[in-house]
Amino acid sequence: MNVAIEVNGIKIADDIEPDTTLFEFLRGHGFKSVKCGCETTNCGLCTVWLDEEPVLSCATFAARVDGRRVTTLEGLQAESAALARCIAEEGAEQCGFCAPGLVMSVLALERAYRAAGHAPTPAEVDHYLAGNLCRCTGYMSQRRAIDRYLAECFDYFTAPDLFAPVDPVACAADAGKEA
Amino acid sequence: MLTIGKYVRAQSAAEALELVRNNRRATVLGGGMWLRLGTGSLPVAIDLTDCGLNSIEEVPAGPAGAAPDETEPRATELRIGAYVTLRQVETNAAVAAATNGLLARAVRDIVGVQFRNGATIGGSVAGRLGFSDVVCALLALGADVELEGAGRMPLAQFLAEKGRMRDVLTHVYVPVRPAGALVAGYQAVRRAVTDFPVVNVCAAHDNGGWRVVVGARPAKATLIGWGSGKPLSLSAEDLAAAAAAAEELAYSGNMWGGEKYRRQIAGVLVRRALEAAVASAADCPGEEAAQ
Amino acid sequence: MSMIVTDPSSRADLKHIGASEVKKDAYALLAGKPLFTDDLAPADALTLKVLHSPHAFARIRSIDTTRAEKVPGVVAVYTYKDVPQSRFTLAGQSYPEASPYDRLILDQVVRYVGDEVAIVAAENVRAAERALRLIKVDYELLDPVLDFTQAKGNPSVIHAEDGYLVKAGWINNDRMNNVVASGQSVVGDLDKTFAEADVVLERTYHSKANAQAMMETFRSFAEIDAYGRICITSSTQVPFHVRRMVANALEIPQAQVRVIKPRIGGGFGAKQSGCNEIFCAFVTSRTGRPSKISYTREETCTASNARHEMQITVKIGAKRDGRITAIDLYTLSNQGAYGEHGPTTVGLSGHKSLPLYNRVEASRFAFDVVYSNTMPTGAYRGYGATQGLFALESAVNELADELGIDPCELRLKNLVREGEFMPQYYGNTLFSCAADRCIKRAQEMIGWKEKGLRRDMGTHVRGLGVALSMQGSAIAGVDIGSVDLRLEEDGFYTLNIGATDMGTGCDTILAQFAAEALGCATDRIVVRGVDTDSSPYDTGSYASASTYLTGMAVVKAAEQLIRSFREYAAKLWNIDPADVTFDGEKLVAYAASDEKDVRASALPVPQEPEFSQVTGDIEHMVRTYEVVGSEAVSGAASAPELAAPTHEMDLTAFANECVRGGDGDCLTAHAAASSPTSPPPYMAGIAEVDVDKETGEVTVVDYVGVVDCGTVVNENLARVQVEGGIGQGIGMALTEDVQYDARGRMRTRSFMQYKIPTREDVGRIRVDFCESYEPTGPYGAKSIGEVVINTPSPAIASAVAHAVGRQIRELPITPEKILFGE
Repeated sequence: MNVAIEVNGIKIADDIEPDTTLFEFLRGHGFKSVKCGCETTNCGLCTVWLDEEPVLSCATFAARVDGRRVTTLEGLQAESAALARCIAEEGAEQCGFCAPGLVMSVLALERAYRAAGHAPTPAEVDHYLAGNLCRCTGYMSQRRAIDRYLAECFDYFTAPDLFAPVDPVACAADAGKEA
Repeated sequence: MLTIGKYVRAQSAAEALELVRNNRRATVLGGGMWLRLGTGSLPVAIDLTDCGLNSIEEVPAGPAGAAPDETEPRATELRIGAYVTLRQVETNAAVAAATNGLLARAVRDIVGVQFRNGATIGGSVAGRLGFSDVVCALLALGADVELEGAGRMPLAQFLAEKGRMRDVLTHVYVPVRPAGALVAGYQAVRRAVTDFPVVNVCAAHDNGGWRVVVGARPAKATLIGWGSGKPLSLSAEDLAAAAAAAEELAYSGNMWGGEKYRRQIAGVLVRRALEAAVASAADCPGEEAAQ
Repeated sequence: MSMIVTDPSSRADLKHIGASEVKKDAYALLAGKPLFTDDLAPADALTLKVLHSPHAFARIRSIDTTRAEKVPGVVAVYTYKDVPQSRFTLAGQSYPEASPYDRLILDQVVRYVGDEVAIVAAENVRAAERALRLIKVDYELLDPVLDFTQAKGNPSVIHAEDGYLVKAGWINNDRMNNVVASGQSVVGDLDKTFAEADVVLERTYHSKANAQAMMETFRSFAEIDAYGRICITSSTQVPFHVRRMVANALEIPQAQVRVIKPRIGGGFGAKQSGCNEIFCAFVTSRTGRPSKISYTREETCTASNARHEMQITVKIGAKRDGRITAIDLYTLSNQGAYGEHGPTTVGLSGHKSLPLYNRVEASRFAFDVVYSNTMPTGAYRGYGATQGLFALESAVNELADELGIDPCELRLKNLVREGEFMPQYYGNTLFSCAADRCIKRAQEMIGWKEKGLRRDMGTHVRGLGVALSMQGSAIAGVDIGSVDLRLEEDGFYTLNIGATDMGTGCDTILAQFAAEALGCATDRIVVRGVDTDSSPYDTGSYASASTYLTGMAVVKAAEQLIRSFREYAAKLWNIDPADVTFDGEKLVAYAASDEKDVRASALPVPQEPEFSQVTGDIEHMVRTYEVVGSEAVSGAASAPELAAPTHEMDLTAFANECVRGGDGDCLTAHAAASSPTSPPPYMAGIAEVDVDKETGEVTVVDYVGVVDCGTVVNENLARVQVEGGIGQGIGMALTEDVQYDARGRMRTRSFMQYKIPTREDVGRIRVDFCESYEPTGPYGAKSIGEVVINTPSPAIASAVAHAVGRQIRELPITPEKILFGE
């Protein structure tokens, strides 16, 4: 069946199998930044934007997005440069396989909160990115890098001190109270 | 992977219904989140994107599909199209107001934002899956569903049906109650933060009493035999009775947990959901519902 | 700068070692460039799909592929009848491999649910999948051994085939009893020491076959190159070993095989075994066409390799005052259906746990590794030490609880110290150890003394638990790391390595070593990926070898290269090489002085002891690698009495001069490194957990890890290694739960069922370093890659035990086990 999907501003028309996923469509047309790490929607590696919203390309039929706008990392090279620098300088870039999906999600987070008019909290950041798995880093360096990036984006983003104890000794005095 | 013979973008729910009724192996697509899990084939896959089922509207309350235990009629309700995504449900202001934040609370730990941008409320309900947080919360809210074909019915009735669906789910109706009239609590135990729940519980109170739902037993969500007509404020005996009623439901074991464990924490979670709901009422204006 | 430095304070002079250099490939990866195996596969490659066995143990009576072959787009379907009959191993190990040669590309007998039955080669994936469903197989069902505790001596023999080969006699293979390997090592008089102990505890611990779960699944492709050879590109950690196993599997000489490793999306040991390279190599060899295969996550979970499930019994004896006097440790390791890494992983369960408590009077480590009809196992970060440390550290924690002694104090009392000879650690002597400082620092970071082991918070309760970890640095006497270092036209260097960067950044780390040794910026060092045709031999990235061993080779090569600069410059200037100096930027010669004779001997040939002469004694292991800045290598930095230089040339001009013509050449140095010792890194980990008393849910609120890896080469990258290892360890402790059904089929077949931690599961992880100085390591460095995964399971188990009073001995620690026990 025929579809026409706009990818990074360019309309791509193709005759596809009805069960072609957006993931297959994109990689088949050379957008190799989009990765696949699972078949069950859990890893987030295949994240792209559909009409500016982050979705899982592996679980989206190309036929469903006929006529709509898709954005991949190839189309966000300039926009992702500052975030890339924060991640690279933190050493948080390890094997690189989860990176495109993560970058797409962080930039989507930034856009969402800009639209909302306020900075996210660190807990909201973690929650927004819960669907982006990483096996290499243990997430701490990603947190540091993303915190640094969001501090550059938002005036009132408060990054926690990730080197400080979660439950400083002072809490010992509260023993017996509801956690 | 799933293979599809023919991909049809239906132009109306009626068209979709006809396809479903004429072809035993035609299937309506939901969000498609788990389409790669199966290796089967769908000769006809029906996409409802063009059927106008993507919006949330506040409409005058519908006919008597209202929850049987309600003592006062609703003025309005939210009509949620089947293709509204879980993320839209999570972030929509009207939904937040109508459900006192309950639906957002119920869906927020489901996999991730990207997943919820694709998964639809219709797909979540039509699947009648045991672990569904969406179904658990909607049941406690006294939601109705509307199907092209069978018409409108309470969610509980829809859930009780078995076998292949011969209708097309088009809308979910959630009552809109005056501010403060609805209080609810949602609790779940998960072995990992975005995992399937081992047990999920939703307790909601409006002027008709409590509706307490336990799901992921692993069987699907169901109301416990306690709470109808009960007031908002609860004594220790009430809480114990509710927990006992929860423990009387049927439980069994699967990869996520054993029967004994589920039964025990169901009681704990019911008590906590009730306590959370009562606590949230204390913060709400409009105390007329608190007896 | 000499590698043998007894005064670690000279570390402060290092410019590149310790710096947080950005990984060389970071920006390309962050831009999403197509650098991974599947991105590079030729467009016309055949797509391969494997038919996996639905039975745990069966013989194929008949297999009919005629309908499958007729599917449009299918080029060929292969069965056991089509493949060579020489058995091989998929283990990525040095030859002769310790793992038995028990595999065929396709076998008539299938030995686990997931074992390969047929290969389909098609023009596209849809045709291949259709064909899979049309292959008809008639199986004769055999009696599977699904419980590994019933495997030894079981009447059902999993590997009774002809052609089974054991290359390493020391493993004590007894396959007709389903035993892959067995052995023991004893020190002292166990019976007597236990009899004299005040307290004896005996406990059994059980860890499961965790999946490495790297984000990139197994992928490879093969093509015939311009020379008619099979050229494989694979997401592998062991390209040189893959070359051997493909040659073995196809019964062709290794000369006919080339293996290229591009960027890989994680490995953690999974890719230290071969996986599907043999399939695309086979198909390409038969069809002449390029072919590619990408395993799905389901195949990666169910039909590849994982950590060895182990049941470990620890008997520990101590005096009332806390002195541990005897430890008896027995490991039963579940190898699964094929023998990769079986005989070798098990050894670490004892030899990289017991040496923590080296001063016991008696110890024994005994083991059996058994086959079973479950998914084969292989290498996963920690490689047996993880399981052994879970058991031993849990036992030590239980001992502390039993004696009423603080678990940190108990460890400080018994911990091995620098200078000790370690009989249960391959007879090595310990030259560097800061484990005691690591414990103390960890205590300080978490607030150990202030918080206490248990704090009741009402419906929640908090607990603290500690564990130690050790590992090795490369495999002594076995691992080889070699490098080529070349000065290129224009004055930059290419560093050609065989070590495989799987995301860890070893390419960058090794460039830092080179930069330090050559006295230049890391930008001047170009590192290239691994290709068996052109990269120097390296056993691969495993056993925590890249920093310690390949780093050493880099330093050696730099030393040799600088010497060759001075000799060549001397030739150009027609002077004595002893008069030429090099400072990293330029070559300078001063007028000869009367001390010429002395300085002539300042350019000696590098001295190092014969490998066979080396013992554990550090005096015998002294090496004289000396690099830029040291007199022996660079020449005297400046001689005050001399006047202006007689000759001078900057590096760029010099490099261009080298290739200007005639008998010029790029100056090149090659160096290989192996080590007779494997210095252990150490780590202390403390977990603070929060347990919901009513539901059993456990959260890791805070986790501190303090590591002694010798000199820290790149602080950012080292920190990320530790955080990543702890993250995986938390998954192993709490959420990762491999489950099988009654017929041997794995139930946890995807990330939906097998839960690796998300960023909301890890709480906070805080890392610090206490540096020791390892005299045998490059600039004092040891390893870090594996030691980092071993503390969370025992630390969390102990923290939970302190919180709720129940010690969980079978992983993972689930809410249900906390409420009801195991």
